[in-house]
Amino acid sequence: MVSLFTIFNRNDPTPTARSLRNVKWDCAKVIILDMEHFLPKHINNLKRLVAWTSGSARHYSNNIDDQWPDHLWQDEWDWTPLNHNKLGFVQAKYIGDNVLEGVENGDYIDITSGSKAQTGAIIKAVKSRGIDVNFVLQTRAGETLNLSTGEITSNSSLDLTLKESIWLSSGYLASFGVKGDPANGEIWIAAKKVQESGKTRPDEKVSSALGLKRNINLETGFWLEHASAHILSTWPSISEVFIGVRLIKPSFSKVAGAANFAILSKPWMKNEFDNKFMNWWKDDEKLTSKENSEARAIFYCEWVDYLRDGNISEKAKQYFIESVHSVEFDFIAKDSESMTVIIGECKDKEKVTEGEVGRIHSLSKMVFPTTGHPLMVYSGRKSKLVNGVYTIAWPDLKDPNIMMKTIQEEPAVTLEEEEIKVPKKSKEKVSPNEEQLEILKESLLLIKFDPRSYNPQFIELLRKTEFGTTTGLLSWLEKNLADKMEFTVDRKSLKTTKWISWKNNAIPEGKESTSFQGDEIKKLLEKIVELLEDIKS
Amino acid sequence: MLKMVISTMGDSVSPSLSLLVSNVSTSITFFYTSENIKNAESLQYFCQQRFPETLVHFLELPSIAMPGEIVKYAKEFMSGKNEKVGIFLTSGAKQTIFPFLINSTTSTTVSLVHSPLRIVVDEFPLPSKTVYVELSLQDLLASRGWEISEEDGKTLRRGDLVISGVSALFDKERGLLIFMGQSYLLKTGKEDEIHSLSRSMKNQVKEKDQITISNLTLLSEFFGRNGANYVISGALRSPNRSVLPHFIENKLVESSLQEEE
Repeated sequence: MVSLFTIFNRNDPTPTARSLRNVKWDCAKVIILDMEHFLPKHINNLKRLVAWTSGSARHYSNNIDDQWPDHLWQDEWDWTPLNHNKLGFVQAKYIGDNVLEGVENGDYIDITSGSKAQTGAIIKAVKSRGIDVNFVLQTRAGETLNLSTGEITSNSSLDLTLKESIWLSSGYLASFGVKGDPANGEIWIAAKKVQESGKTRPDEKVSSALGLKRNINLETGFWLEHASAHILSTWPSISEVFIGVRLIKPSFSKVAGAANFAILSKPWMKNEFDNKFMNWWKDDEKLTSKENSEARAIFYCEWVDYLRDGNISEKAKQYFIESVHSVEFDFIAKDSESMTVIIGECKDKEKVTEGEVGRIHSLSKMVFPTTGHPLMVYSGRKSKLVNGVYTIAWPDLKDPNIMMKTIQEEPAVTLEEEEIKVPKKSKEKVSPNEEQLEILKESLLLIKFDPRSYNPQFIELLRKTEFGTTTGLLSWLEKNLADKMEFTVDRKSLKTTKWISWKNNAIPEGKESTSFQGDEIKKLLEKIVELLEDIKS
Repeated sequence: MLKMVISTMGDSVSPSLSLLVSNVSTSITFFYTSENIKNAESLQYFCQQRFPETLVHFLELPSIAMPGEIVKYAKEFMSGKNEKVGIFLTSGAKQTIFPFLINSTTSTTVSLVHSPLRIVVDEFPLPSKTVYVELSLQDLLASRGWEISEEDGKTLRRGDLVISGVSALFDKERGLLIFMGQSYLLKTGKEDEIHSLSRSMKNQVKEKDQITISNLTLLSEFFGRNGANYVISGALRSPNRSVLPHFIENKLVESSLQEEE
């Protein structure tokens, strides 16, 4: 019986998960060190790891209102669970005897996680017992390295899948569209390319080569997402690539609110739901701001209950699932050699704009702060590094080393240089009409309950509703809505959820977000242990 | 005093320098991977000038891309060692230093701890030995071949490479090397005008800030992205703000404003 001992990595649970996934064990022990000094983010990381071991994020939230009903949960969001009967968690202030209780000759100790001081202490503790164990480490190249012998084992077939990596590093559920297929990638690579008004397009014959009944519609940009993802899947280092990746928050009540907003902005979806919930929220002038806020919270509770009851059509369920995401990417690819995630945006345009490049950069760093690499694919002619983002002409994707070559061979470009060539229109300032005003209010109230950054998240939310220009919006909000809706704006925090503060933050009973202070932390830890017990039973 | 201490070289300069200054051993061996050869050469030259009394060896390890070979190298190196060897854990990647500790029967550990900065030698079962260390900014820079120009005290120089407008600081308590530049708007007192700059001024701001970013990026190639803190104080405009490399922090001063989208 082989045991694995591994330290919980409090800043990102991914390395701990990798060791649990990649080392062959009969029983495993996760060592949690110095828990008393955990910050809220460490607690969240631990909760995510615990949920990950269960094979699903479905029961991630302790709040019953936030858990997903059976009829709306999608099995595709789950992954392979670990053997919970043989998995244990042990807490300790430092490496001592209790931590290594039961360690025997031939066991594995994974030192990928933990500080060097903690690792040194664990090695010395094992040596002092005179036990011969295998010290292993997960390399960035997707291998398990035995530090006692130098033996390297490839983890290619076992390592974390893309959806697991997304969950562990960002806390989002991932819904994938079409999977990149190397055979289709070869067809796209071989397809004849034609030039049309400065854009590189595929010859229409590619449709029949791909076995499609109808010709690809080159008027919409979807063809470029497919071409990019399929070609990327031919790269040796890419283990997975998906088109149309949507990231969803694990809290049901939060996504229900977001979905209500998205459905309202799509008339063909609205008819499938009870009309009672399908109108833009109107503030009743007779109510105080606090009363209005409470009334709105009650409305959301009823909407959540309506969805939870399950008395909705199959089409409504489908529309709901299509509307629950907070972030959407054209494609995402996992590079198993560098253990990084490529976040892809496609633009069927001759030139990309500064905003387009900046947006994919911000979004990728928001979701994957350390492992994310933004990639812009476009139908212009030249591959280059634009404002720090690889901007690749799609036919060049056939070369797996194109990104490296782009740095070496092409001078980096800053976008304003290019823009000078195109006559620039003066930017239209925001001036909302009645409908836009409703959208603005609705979006603001949505983020009051489900906080999001100003840029990119709030702007993305508006963009989905085809709101129009957002130039000068912040000033407009401050001038026209801040007093009325009782909020203030902090311009230094636009990239965080703290950009907006509400004077009245009424949340209905039972919906409180957990405060992670003092005793709350201890209580939450107890809940984590309980959750683990539940999972085990 | 330990007869021998071994260390692998990492990005950060303060661990290696602390080890040299501490005098916990008169014989130190620094291992470096082929990726780190430039830093090893600088440190070797610095040791010859600054620590002529200490026996310092430099030995090359296999590439970091061949971790299995590093383990085999470490195993062979430690197999002949019967004396107590101090293994310095604070510097270098885990897969380069821990194979030495794992494959040794007689070694002990040496660590650098901050606040205040000190070297701790584990002498189990005896109590640990602590040596407080004091480092100078000049030595830290010199160990990577850099110096501060004596003329204005603000220009950083390494041979033909000259960087002005970036200050080097050393937090002695935490052992942290900091490189700090100022945004052009802060430098010129025009932060309040961030939303009303003329087109030519916007271009000028962009160009000047790009020079500061590029200088900090250049320094990171010598001192490592994680080996020092890189800071730009004052408001930056897009696109510089939105594509700032992740290891460069933009610290806003009280009056700084951020441009809205």
